[in-house]
Amino acid sequence: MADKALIQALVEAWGPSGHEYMVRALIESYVRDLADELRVDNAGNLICRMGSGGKKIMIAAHMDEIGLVVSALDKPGFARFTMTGGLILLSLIGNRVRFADGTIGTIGVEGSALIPTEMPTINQLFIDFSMGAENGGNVRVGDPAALTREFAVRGDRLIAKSMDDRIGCAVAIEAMRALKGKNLPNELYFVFTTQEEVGIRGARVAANSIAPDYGIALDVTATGDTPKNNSMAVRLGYGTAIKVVDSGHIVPPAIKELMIRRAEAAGIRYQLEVLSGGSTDAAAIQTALSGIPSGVISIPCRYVHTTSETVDINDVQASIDLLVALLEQPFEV
Amino acid sequence: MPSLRENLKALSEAIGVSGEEREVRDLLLELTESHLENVVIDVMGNLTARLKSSQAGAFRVMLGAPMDEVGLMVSGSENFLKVLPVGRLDMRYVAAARVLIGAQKTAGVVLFAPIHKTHGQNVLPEPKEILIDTGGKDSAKVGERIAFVGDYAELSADVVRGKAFQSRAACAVLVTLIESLTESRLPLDIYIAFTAQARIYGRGATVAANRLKPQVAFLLDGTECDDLPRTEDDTQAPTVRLSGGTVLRAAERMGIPDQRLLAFVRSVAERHNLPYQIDVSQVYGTENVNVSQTQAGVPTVSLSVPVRYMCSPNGLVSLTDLERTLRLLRESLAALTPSILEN
Repeated sequence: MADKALIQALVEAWGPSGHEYMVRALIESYVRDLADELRVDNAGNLICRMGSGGKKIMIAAHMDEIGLVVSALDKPGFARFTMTGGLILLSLIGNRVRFADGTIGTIGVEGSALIPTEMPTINQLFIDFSMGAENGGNVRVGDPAALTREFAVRGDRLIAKSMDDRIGCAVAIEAMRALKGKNLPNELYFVFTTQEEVGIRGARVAANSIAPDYGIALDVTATGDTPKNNSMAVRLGYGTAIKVVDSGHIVPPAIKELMIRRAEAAGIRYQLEVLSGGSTDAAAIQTALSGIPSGVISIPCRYVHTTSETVDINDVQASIDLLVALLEQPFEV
Repeated sequence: MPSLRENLKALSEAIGVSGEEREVRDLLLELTESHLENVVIDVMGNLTARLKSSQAGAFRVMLGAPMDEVGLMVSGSENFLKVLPVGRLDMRYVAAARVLIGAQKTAGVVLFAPIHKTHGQNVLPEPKEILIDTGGKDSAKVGERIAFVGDYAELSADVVRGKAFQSRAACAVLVTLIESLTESRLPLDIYIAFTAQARIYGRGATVAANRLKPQVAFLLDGTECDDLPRTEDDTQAPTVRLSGGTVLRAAERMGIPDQRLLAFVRSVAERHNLPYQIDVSQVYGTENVNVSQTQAGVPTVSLSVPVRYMCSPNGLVSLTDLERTLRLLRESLAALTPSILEN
């Protein structure tokens, strides 16, 4: 079953969009001995090649997490912030953030009410970093921060911040482990990408330089299995999700069919995903250069973009199995 | 050679609404052509060139400045001219603004319903509902651009007022920098891009960067100040002040600038005691987003001149800020080596 220690290390690492260097160094330590060739490009993507000859396939999982940036200083010890990626304002009050130097901040809301009765706007929120400066911290305008929360396990459920998309990174690393030493029919480029949450910037640049024949993104998707939620058919614990469509990407039917064929042949539990909000690195890969057919293996995840993103370890394993099944055989689209 | 101040005035007074930047481009060409080679005016309207004093085979650098300004475009005529917005408009100044239409610069005003004769409908129109009153003339053609009038004036020895400073202050700095780089050369292969269509999603910059293929890009532009008077209980400190020095953008909504390059420019500013201000953009993005995603990714950083009332035709800039920005970019180029991109 999927490596929980690996997942814990990945989700607890710090890496808001544009500042993925700690996550990149961590991933590099896992994949250094697995890749035939490894490089970091100008956008900060970590590109790992395995095998050579055959179809070039780019597999993308993003390293960055949603975060915030100090936009202005306020009274001493307080800062205003803006978002990098889609933070959910309702989930922020009372939450904690961490800066690159380890300084912890608390998110508060203007006014004297203990519990705000109205939904605040982001301009009414602030980060309290008081006493931080006295202890060596120095918060300046432009400093990035990320939400912080420890990893937890409840049965087969894994709960953490940044499952989006460190769980995709874990799936990629586990697939690299499984493929190591095999005679690969394809030329694989595992790319740990940057700045997905702020406009899919890293994957686009990596696709331009790799010029793959096909792309596969590994990312989380939402579920429709919580109370009074029938927004979508994906359920936690019911297998990996093969994407059909999301708001930025229609998967070419031939790619979707290949994924279904491989899953059924290997007895891997899967579900089909139609997501009405959000998109993945595959949307950028598919529209790079003169168009690169791309699909997505999604890991079902509850409470996406909160500090309690929840996945099921069986779905994670099914995603690894499907990715390995796709990559260890010729890519017959 | 005209001074920075003279260039700024001439550039601000020139008209160049997004997609029709010819007048500004011709002026820039006149000011810089003797220092440039391989001059290309491309399909987007960008003016790209290589600096003659460049060193072939050296580190390949792009220096960019946008040319265009927001405005309107004629879309039809029924007593009044119907128009569409070009770029993002703030209706608070557009209502009742004076305009110049097309290449003939025909005068007009934006239709403005007075508060005592609007039957209670004294709200600002939507950008798509704007009408232009031309005093009965009916010569404008569909598609012609319309610019807002913003007279240039020197408010003090340091602060000047004018329109289109977001682009033209950057152009003025780049023109002077081109002269300076010709007088004393640097061991760099330098390419210039005066870009078109910056105000409509930075479309020009993408094409310019794809043509020039730089290894690193420095983009000049303007940034809005937030140093206006505040209420007493508002304790938030301004991040961008007029006369406060060059603005370096640490983050944008749609992308984060290259952190190595940002740290490098910051260290150059500190070493030379040049004041700078760090800003975080709440709006979608600047040309930095476009340029950094070309090819296999181009490390890109923006150096901005603070502009008060930037989103109106009455912008204010400090000439000292322009000179500091010129000096910061010049010193950054002098210290630039490929090694800053390692790690």
